[in-house]
Amino acid sequence: MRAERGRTKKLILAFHFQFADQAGWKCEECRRSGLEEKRRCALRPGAEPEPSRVVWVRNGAVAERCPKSLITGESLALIEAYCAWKLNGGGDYRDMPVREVEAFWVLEQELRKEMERRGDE
Amino acid sequence: MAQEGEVVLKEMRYESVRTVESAVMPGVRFRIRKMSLERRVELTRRLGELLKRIEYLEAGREPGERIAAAEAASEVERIHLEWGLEGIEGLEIDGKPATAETLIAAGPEALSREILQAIRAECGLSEAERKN
Repeated sequence: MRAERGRTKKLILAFHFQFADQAGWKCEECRRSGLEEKRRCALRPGAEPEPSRVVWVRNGAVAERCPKSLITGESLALIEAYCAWKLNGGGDYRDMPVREVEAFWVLEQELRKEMERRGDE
Repeated sequence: MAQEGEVVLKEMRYESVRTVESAVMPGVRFRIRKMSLERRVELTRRLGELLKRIEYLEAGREPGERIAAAEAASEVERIHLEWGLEGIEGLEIDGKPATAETLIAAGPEALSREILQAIRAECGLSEAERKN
């Protein structure tokens, strides 16, 4: 249950991170500026447990570590699959694997939030 | 026979695999998978975290990180080959018809590089990205 919640959280994070300014999160600049510790990069080897604090927020998605370092290949793949599904007109979900349906449902909610946010601007 | 003014619909044919004649090993042909929405998703699933790790390691100053980045880049190449190579014809490796697995494990490196380049071109990677 906890792992599932963690997966959903990472999926939401990945979804909103793609709308953020990516330039500020390039590893090269981040590491050169010594920001990897401050941003609590999850890729740092042997990173000691530090008190948690928010390092990135966007439209309700919150990361206590560098968001880029937390995003999984699975989340990126689900977002791509979701975009493909939308592009194809959002086919019948009954033929899809349960895990994909769950992910798409989460992404639909997040997309709605994003659209609402843009409408408010 | 179509009448005058009648529209004839031709059936579109699409091959999801492309056959390439090897330039480095004449007589060898290989089949590579063309990109599709589903195949792109599969590739992202397999490469997503590895590419992120490479970016992190390449940004480091420690020699160990550079080595680890090179190792991870080799792993990316292996995944690209496994993902994109459908089959090889006209080549035997150690007396057996070559497959993607035997090519990666024991095949001629020049051919592997040629196939890799063709797969990456199929993925739509730029020349600079292909070199990485």
